[in-house]
Amino acid sequence: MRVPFNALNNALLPRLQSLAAAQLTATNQLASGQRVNRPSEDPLAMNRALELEARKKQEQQYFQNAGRAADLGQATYAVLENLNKVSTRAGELSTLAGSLSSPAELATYAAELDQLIEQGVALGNSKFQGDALFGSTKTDMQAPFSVTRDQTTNKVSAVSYDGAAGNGAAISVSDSETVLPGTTGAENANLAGFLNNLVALRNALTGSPLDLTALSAARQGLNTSEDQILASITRISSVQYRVESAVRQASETFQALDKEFGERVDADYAQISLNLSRSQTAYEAALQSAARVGTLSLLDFLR
Amino acid sequence: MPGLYFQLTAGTQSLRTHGKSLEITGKNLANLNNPAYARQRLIQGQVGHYDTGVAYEGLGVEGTGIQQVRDPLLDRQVQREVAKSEGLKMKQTLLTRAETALGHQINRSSSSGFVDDLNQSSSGGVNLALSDFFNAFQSFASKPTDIGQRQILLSRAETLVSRINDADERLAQVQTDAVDQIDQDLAAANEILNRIAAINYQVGVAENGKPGAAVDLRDERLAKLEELAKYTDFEVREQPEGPGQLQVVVRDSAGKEVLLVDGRETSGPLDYNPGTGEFNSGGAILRLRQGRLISAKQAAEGPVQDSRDALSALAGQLTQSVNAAYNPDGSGVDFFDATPGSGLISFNNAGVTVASLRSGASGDSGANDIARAVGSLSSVVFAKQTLTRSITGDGTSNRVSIPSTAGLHIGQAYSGPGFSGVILSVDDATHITLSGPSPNGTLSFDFAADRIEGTFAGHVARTVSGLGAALATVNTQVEDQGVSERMVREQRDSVSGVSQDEELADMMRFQRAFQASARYVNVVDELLDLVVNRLGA
Repeated sequence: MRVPFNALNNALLPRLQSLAAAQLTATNQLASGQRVNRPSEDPLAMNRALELEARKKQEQQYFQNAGRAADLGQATYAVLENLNKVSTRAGELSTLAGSLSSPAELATYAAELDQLIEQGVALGNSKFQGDALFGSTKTDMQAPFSVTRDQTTNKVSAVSYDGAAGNGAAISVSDSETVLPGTTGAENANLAGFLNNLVALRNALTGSPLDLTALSAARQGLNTSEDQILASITRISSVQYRVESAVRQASETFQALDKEFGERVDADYAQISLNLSRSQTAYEAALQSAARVGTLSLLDFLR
Repeated sequence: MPGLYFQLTAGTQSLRTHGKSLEITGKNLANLNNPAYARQRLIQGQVGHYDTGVAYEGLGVEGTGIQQVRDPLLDRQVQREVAKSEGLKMKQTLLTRAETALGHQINRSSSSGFVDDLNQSSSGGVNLALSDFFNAFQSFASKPTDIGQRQILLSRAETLVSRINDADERLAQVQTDAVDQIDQDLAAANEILNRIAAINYQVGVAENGKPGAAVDLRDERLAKLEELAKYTDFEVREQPEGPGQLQVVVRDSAGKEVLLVDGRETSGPLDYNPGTGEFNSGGAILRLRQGRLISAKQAAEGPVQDSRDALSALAGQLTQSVNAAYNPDGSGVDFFDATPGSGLISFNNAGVTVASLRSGASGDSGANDIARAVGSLSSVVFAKQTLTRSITGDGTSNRVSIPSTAGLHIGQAYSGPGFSGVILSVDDATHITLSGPSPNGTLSFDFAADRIEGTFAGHVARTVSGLGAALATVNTQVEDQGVSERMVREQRDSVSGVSQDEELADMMRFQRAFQASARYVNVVDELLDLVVNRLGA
């Protein structure tokens, strides 16, 4: 076989370039920690990685949404708990009040009820991060529960709910699940009913003589309102449970997605180090053999 | 019978012949590094013959010609391989630029590994901008009154629009560059064609009566043919009526031959019409198959245009779906301009501001049905097929029942006898809400085909990986083709290439032959001296 002068160089150069490219690839992979950087390096992995990245971000958003729902739910729950305490104390007062109570005692009870009414109205108009908690979708209202006051005594004579009648804003916590972390318009209307029952109880206690029929009706109304408040608390609690579950779900899904993402694009350091070592050795061998072969020539033996 | 004088002449002749051989060896050695050069050999023959009475003998050696050691089949094979290699390299260059233009790389360091670490300022390609856009709507839905969320949302919308339009513009630039490249390559190819015609003329003059004598000109012509092969594939053949004169032939769209070079003439410049995407010469539309010219066109019209079409479909679907979800009854303003002023998509920043951004249809500050509807579009699976379903309504409510809501999604256009609009919401597995009134009874409705297949994120991933796959294929082909071309070149070099060892050995051989001839001349000279000066003395 004839070996022309350029044969060695022609054969060596592509081999050296190929080995240098292999070293560069391995070095890049080791430096970035990634097996895949550009789409053309592994189109299939890239396709999946891009989808996984989008899904990861979506799960992060659901996690954040669930956090917001949990905060909103907890704030609502806390206010409802306080309203329930108000209801409990009002119930106690209604029990204490009776035909055997003196007018002074009844006046004291009525005065405490006035405070409970004021407290209840204030709780109903609570805000969370600047938004009215019990206005349903009318979150920008200053006071969803407006009061009518007696012009002479300035005491609350009636409470009305001015917020939205429909459900509050739902929050997405997964592709297929939304939660209602706040109260509904109907629940808010019930709260207004509760506050009006407090007013009715106070009015019953301030009557002279004591109107036992009105007292009994107010007591009955309070019991109904308390059941409604407890039902709202129970619903909010169950929503909180769903939110916690959604948080766990988003977290677990995210971890699974991140793991698969890593499997698709992350570098296997052991394998890449081995590849680098192999291409370095081959590169060195190619250079050495070329240098040795290149030193020999017939010219060295001619005089 | 020749005498001593004749022998002296024959010796001188052989000295000249061996000297010429040495000269050619020197020329071969001088061209050791010239890849276009084919090694040469002096063809030796007898000056003449005569009958000595003993035998019919030669009158001495002389150089009868110079042989160029070439294998025409290998030369043509090299030209074909060069055309393939250069075409693939051109595709590789353009697709690499398109891949960069599309702007999608994976950066692990910017991809959070924690669920509670939602990076709101992602840099990257269209896919991340899409995620950020829909996530911003979700965040907005969870807190509609938050001015910060509103500002972030508008910023995300601007980012998404600019990412899509920028990617499309960069891809369009790759296509423009491809056409510019074609123009430059055409100028180079036409110059080569003119040069080949000129060399044909010079060969004709030089080889008048001595066929094949213009070896160096033939080398130059072959080098030019190989250069031309970078730009296009072609066939080469000898002009039937002019030995040594080459014709360069390509085919037209009907497979008919078109002569680019015919001896010393060129038929007309190679040209390209970007409007029709056709190459032509002398009025004929050419069918090129290999080389840089056709490959640049194929890359620009193939994978690059496919990516642009995919971006256009994405922009169209985004505009349609987001507007349908954001402005369901059509009474408000659209989120994206229905007809973009420039680019593929444009954000209606005049109509949609921080203050006017709608979160819910009722207008309540805390209502978020619209924001949630837009945010949920990230999970919608689109399909490029028209669906026909029977709809049952009561004629008053917009909510209708349907056998199955599979394949239907918010914002999808519907049409039926006397009815048209878009789906406002998919309520459950058997109910949807229409934007217009429902039929009183059961009617068959058509639901329009979407512009994309799968989710938005899936569409972008497929677009990116599609271009990546095209480039990966070309990368592999370039590598494989490099091996093929190298093998053919090695094969040709083993025939035509100059071997230093061989030439040095020949040099010694010709040196010794020259020395022997010189010695012979000395001996004859001594004999003549004996005859002329010493006989009879």
